[in-house]
Parts: sequence; structure tokens; C-alpha cells
Amino acid sequence: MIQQDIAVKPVDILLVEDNPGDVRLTQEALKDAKLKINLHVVNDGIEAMAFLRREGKYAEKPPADLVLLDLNLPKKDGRQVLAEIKGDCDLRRTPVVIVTTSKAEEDIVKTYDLHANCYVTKPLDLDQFIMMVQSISHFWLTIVKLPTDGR
Amino acid sequence: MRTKDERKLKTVLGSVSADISGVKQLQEELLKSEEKYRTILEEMDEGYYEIDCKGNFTFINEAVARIFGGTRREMLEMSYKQYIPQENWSSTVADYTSVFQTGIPKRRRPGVSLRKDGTKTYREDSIFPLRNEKGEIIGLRGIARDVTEQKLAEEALIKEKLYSEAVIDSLPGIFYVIDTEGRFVRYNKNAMEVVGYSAEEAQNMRAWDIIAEEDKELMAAKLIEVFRDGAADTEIKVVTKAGKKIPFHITAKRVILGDHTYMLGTGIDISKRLAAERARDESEKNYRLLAENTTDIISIVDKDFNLVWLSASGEKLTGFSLEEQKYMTLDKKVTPESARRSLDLIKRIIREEMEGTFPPDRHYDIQSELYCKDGSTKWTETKMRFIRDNQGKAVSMLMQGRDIDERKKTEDALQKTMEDLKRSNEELQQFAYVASHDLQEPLRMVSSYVQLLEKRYKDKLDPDAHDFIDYAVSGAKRMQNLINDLLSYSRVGTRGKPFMPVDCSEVLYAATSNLEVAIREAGAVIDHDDLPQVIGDEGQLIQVFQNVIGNAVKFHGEEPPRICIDAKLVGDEWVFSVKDNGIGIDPQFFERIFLVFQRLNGTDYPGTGIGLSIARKVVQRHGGRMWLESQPGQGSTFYFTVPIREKGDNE
Repeated sequence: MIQQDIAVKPVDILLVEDNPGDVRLTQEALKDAKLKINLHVVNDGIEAMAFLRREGKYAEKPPADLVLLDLNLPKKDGRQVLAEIKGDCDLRRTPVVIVTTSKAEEDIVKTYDLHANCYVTKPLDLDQFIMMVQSISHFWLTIVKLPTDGR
Repeated sequence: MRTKDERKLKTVLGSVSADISGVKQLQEELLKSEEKYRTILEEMDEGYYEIDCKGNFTFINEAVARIFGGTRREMLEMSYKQYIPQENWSSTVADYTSVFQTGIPKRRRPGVSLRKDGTKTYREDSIFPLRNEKGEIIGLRGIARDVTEQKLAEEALIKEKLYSEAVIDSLPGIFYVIDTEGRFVRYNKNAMEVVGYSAEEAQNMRAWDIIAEEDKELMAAKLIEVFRDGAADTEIKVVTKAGKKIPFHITAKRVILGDHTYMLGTGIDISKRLAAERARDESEKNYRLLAENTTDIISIVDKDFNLVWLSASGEKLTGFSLEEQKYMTLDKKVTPESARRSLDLIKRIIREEMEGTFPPDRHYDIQSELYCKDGSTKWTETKMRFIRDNQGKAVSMLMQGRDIDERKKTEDALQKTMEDLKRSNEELQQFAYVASHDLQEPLRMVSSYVQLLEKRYKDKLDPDAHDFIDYAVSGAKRMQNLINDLLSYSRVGTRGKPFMPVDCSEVLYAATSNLEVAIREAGAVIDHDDLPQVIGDEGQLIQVFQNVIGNAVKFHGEEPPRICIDAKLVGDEWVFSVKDNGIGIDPQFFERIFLVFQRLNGTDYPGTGIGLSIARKVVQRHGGRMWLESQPGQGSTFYFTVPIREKGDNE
């Protein structure tokens, strides 16, 4: 986990991903980012909801500024996590980016129907992967204007 | 009157008295004798008359007056002709004249005479000459007998005889009477005509002479029966003179006339009836043969649905005999499900029959699962049809069943296979879905980390290592393409959209737009006519056009690609064609190119070889076909059809 920097207010990204390889790649991709990012990682849907609702062991965790959500997750599927986030008054404004291997049309349609903020597929190419992660964080954390009381 | 009579009598007896005149005793005797004759004359039933030579009555007794219906007074001096019908005059005159001239008495046959009131009577006359004292014939005397009653009875008898003969002769059959010796006593015309013997021949024949050899024993037995019991009937063959055998139904009766016993028989030719019966028996035999040997199960139930007849095949099917099945309740005959359906159908039949909504020759169909004696079950399919009387009223029901056990079991097996197939298909979809996610992750790991390795340790790797890393990465990419293509292919059948009206010109536009870069790079020219509207899945049709046109663009020869797209209505389907001037395809590969990942060309042309497989699968989903015509170096024409269908009329 990335060290917190007190001077610049860091952003908190929650990565919901069960594949350690992807976790590591994401971490690698964010290493070069100009932002101070706290990447929090949970491995399944139940943990993800607990983190976002700051329940149990996540009580002390900060609210997430951005959620990177894989669709295929153990215990609780990514679509269900998405539905719960968007059905929750306190969480629904948090941008949720679906990051998945699936290019299936039905997955794309379904997640947008559940109000995903955007849908991206994981590229096979390393450079493209890094660029994708950086673009997402750059776009959602610096370009997009989100409500200040969004948390 | 009396004096006149006396005088007449004296005249009559004149010749007698002439010889004995003068003798008193004789006179007394004469008087006595005269008295006696007078009494006889007056009292006798026969008429006595005398006629003079002019034909006028000179004397008549009371009986003559009675015969002619007149009185003695008025009849005297009158001509006898008065009392004879005119047509008899000449014969009467001839007879009288003959007696008058010859003196020989004559007995006349009974003839008609007229009574005073004009009615006819029959009279029999005996005529004698009447002589004077000198023996000369001076007139006639006659004795007349009224034979009217006798004559009428005789006439009635003759009439009766003629009548009965006419009746007998006009009988439709033969009629004969034989005596106990078998001799023919009487027979009618028919009998003669049938057997063909003349009356003379018949005279010397016996009844059994006209009976067929094989029936003679029967004939003898029947004759005994008739003479003993009084009546009998039988069917027997008569042999004609020409040797032809004709079957007769004979009814015989014993008749006793006086001292003699006769047999009176009537017979009717039954050859037609027997022929009809034979034909009927034959036809019935055929039907029975058919019904009993048919593999169909024929049964008849009465109007209360009770089984009355069952073909042998029906007994064989379940092993239960007709008798056993008659007393089986429905739940013993068929499975509960079939029983329920049977009862529903029976209710429906009864209702429709009562409502009259049942058209005359309509039949009902039902499939039932029957219990067999060995504990197994068998499926049958039965057509039920009413048998109706002349008024159209249902009297029974004919059921024609068929053993469909094998078919049904095949169907069930097929159904199971279908379900298996469906499940396996679903599993395949599931697999495909899993593949799209789970197979790609490890691939990405391989690819990404090899690249990360390269990136991080760039300076420490020799040129070979960089090559190896490239191979690994491109292999992973290729693997990913294959997986994605396979997914697209598997989605054609399962992720298709409902059919809607689609404008193929727009489809073509979308497809060429997607191929814009490739078309531009190859300098391809695409010609097309107006394309029709079809009912289908737009996205998938775009894929078809895109894949086929994409191939045409990709596999071009030296010349820049020239592609011609057309559509023709043939029968009830649109035939689309995409013609190119590309490298062409050897006909031996026509089928292979539609198989998944089958490629004819190496790395010169990129692609996994899924395009045509997907295109054909889409066309098939639309109910069409896809094929091609091509020769290497001659370009190719791909054809595919899309059937005309109504909107919403899906696969």
C-alpha cells in the first residue's frame, strides 16, 4: 500500500480485484502517476461493500474517491456490488469504473444499465494497460468535477 | 183347363186306347191307367211337352211351365222358339226336324233356354216323335230337365279350376304336387320351364329324378319328413334337363285328398340370394381378414363406450383378450394421464354430439399409453369415428388405433436428446462466457508480465531475449483473438436480437463504414444495386456483409479489389451475391472455408478464419443458406439467402 503524504491531500482509490497479477499491474501503473494516490485493494464483493460502508475492520478507512471494479469476483459478483453502490444514497455519487476482461456486449449494456460511470476492458498489452489505468485516474480525479460533499 | 188337359191326354194315349175300345174292363183299366199317367205327368219334376208340326206347344205339364217361368195357359199355342235364345234356334230346329223326319228320338245336350223374365236356365231335352193313330208323325214330344243348378256348379268348378291354374302358373316359383310314389300329379308352367322337360317326359319321372345327385339323400329325408310330420322345408339343388344345377328353397306340405296322400311343394330359385350371400360372405371375410390381420388396432365401442369388438391385433398388442378388455375399467386399461385425457375427450365428444357441433365425418384423435398384460405399457394413437345410422344418429364408434410405441419412445428419446442438447448448449454458452473472462486473464498475465520483464530489465537482456518476448506476446495476442472470435461465433445463436424489418442498403453502408480503413488502403471499389428490405437481425446482417466484403477486400489479387453486391428475389427468398475479382478459391475448399478457424492462406493474410463461419451461422439463423462459386484466380462470388417472412416471425 502506498504511503500517505500529509502535505498533499491524497486521493483514495478502491481497487476491487481478485487477481493478484492485475493488482500488481495496477499498482505498477499508478507508481508513475503524478497524484498522491492511496490504492486500497479488496479481493471480493463483500469486502468491497464493507470497505465502502466502512464497516468492521474498515471502520477507520477513508471514503473512496474512485472505485475500480472487476466484474467477476468471488462471493459477491461485481454487478451486484455496482447495483448496491448505485442503490445507496451515500455511495451512489462515487464514480465506479468497470475494469474487466470481458468485451461481451451484454456485460457492457448491463453495467451501464446499473449506472456504471464507465466501462473499460483490460488490454493485453502492458503499455496499453498502464496507459488505461493512468488515463482513468487522471480523468476521474483531475478533470471531472465531482460534488465536494460527494463523500 | 182341366177339360183341355183331359182331351190332350186322350190324344196322347189315343194309340193305346184304340186297340182296346169297347171292352169295359179294359175301359176301367184304361181309366185307372190314364189316371196313373196323368198323376205321373202332373207330379213329375221333368217337364213333358208336345209340339205340333208348326212348332207350337200343344201340351205342357206343370213342370214345363215351372222351367220356363210361365203359365200353362199362356204357353199353349206358342212357338217353342219363344223360349230359346236366337243363337240356339238353328241347332234346335235341326234337332227337331231330324226327329220329325226320321222318327228317331234324340237326346239333346244341355242348352240354354230363356225364362219368361229373360233369365237363362239350362235345360236338357229328350225328344221323341208324336204319331197319330195311323202312325204318322204329327209332332214331337219332349221331356225337359232343368239342369241350371248342375250347370252353374259345373261352370263354377271350371272357373275355379282355371283360376287356381292361373294362380299356380303365375306363382313366381315352381309348384308341384307329387304322390307318395314321387310321381308328378300337378305342376305349374314355371316348373316345366325351369327343368325343361315336356309333359310327356314328366309323366314317367319321379320327383328325385330332377334333384342333384349330392342332394338326393337330403331329398329322401325331407320326403319322409313331409309325409310323416306334414311339412318341411329345405334348400336343394334341382338339375335341369340340360344338366344345370339350380338351388331352390322348397317348402313342402302334406295334403290328404280322399284316400290319397300327396305332397304339395313350392320352390323359389335362390341362386341370386346365394350369390349375394356368397359375395357378402366373401366381402365380410375380406374385411374380417383385413381387420384381424391389420397391424392397426380396430375396435368398436357402443354408444356408451363399451367395447364390443376388437381386432386380433388389439388383443396381441396388450395381451388382454377382448373378453378381458370388455370388463376392464379405464384405469386398468391406460395410465392415469391417458385415462384423464380419454375422459376429457369422451366428455367433449358427448358434448359436441349433443350440441350437433360434430361434423358428420370428423374424427377425434387421441394418444394413449396402454397397460399390457406383462406389466409394460404401450403407446397408441387412435382415430375415433362415429358409425351412424340412416338418420345420422351415432350408434357406435369405430376406433382405429396404431401402435406408436416405438415412435413415441423414439420421440421421447429425441426429446431427451433435445433436452440434453439444450443443456449442453447452455453449458457451452456458460463455457464460452467463462472463456471470455477467465481464459483471458491468465493470458493477460503472461503477456503483461513478459512485457514488464522486458521493460524493467531491458538493459540486461540480449537480442534473442527480446525476440522471445515478442513471440510470447504475439502468441498471447493471437490466443486472445481466437478466444474473442470463438465467443462471437458462439453468440450468433444465443445473443441474437429479435427479427425486425431491416433495410439492407443501410446494412451495407454500416458494413462498409466498419471496413472503411481496409477499403481505403486496398483501393477497393464497391458497386451495388438497390438492396431490399428484409426481416432479420440488423447487427448480425451487418456482420455477414462485413465479413464477406472484408474477405473480398482482404484477398485481392494484383488488381485493386472490385466488389459487386446484388440481390435477386428467387421464389420466396432474397438471394444476395457478393462478387469479387480476388484470388479465388479452389472448389475443393468450398466447405472447409466455412469451418471455424479453417484458413486457406498463411500469414500473408491476417485473421483467425472465423469470418465466414460466423456469416454462415447468421444466415442459417435467418433460415437461409450460404454458398459460393469460385475458381482460383477468377475471383469469387458468395451467395446467401434471406427468406421473406412476416415481421415478428422469428427463427
